[in-house]
Amino acid sequence: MSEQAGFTFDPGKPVPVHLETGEDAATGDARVEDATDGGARSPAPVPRPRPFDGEGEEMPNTADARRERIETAWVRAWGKGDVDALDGLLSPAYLRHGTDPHPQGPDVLKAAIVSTRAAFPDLTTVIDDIVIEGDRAAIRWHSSGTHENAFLGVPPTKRRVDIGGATFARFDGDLIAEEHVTWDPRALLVALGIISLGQD
Amino acid sequence: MTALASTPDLDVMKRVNRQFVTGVTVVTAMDGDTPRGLAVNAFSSISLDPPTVMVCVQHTSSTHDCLFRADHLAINILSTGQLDVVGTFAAKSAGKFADLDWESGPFGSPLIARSSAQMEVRIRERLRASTHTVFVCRVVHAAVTELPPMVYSAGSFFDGGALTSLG
Repeated sequence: MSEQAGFTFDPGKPVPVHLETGEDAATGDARVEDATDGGARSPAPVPRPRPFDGEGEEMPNTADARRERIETAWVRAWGKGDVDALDGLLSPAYLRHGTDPHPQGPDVLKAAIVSTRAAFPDLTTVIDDIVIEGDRAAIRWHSSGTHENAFLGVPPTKRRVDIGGATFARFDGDLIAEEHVTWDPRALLVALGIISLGQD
Repeated sequence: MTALASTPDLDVMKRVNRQFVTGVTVVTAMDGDTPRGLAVNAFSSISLDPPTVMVCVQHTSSTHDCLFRADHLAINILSTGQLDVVGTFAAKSAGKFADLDWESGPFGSPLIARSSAQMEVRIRERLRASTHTVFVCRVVHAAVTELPPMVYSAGSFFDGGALTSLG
């Protein structure tokens, strides 16, 4: 929590209340890009991606904007632990479909990221591919980390683990409404040879 | 014979378990520089070739967590002459190895002297099953003696060299 409280380089970061009140998409895009660039680059030469209003084909720069929003949020959430960065990417009604029969909301995903990073403090996540088509995005990624602290009730093994997975996302406007994922946190343990038998 | 509903009564399950006779093992491992161990009767061979065995350890054991860090553990099958050893390792005390005659196996795990047989194994899978973890292991070192094994039945210990044959 202290990391979030001390997260100051980003005065324009969108917060859920903005998004819920129907703030327009172009503003949302601009805010995320400003946050990404920080003060390091001048925003002037970068053309602002604008969402296409109508039905049907997406404009190419919408695809680029979505790609950048994904990269930005993933780097900040998985790479830095700033899980609230996902508020600029995920719809408040976001549902994540994985191995659990019950889809998870944004808060469950955020908690999973926090606990995974606590257990694997040196965790690094690399996005290998992002393929955007229409309102869909496919993300292929891999992660490495050392199991230094207890995770899902499993004592630390002090072992390094390499895993990967894929996420298939559906955008609703600027935000991801739904994802189907090939991975859940237990995959990290399975990669270490730790298998949880069926739970009652 | 008592009939069982879908969830057997705990007392019935205890009585059921007491009808199963086992040997006695002491499972040991190195926790960094500190030897640890506990008495286990939930040991079983899985396959002979490849030589694969399993042991079950309760989460509350002081040895449990180090078995997640360790690559290897040892399974010491106790002999009839080791009532003192089983007494030491059935308790939750520190310094179980202080007055114990043991040596390091080829992979560092404590092998207890006077055991009927000893194995050192590489831990492969760790199966988390509610109160216990099942460790599935590949045997990488084995030694056996003529010392008769200790037998455990319904809370008491018996001489495995003095069993009466049924036929």
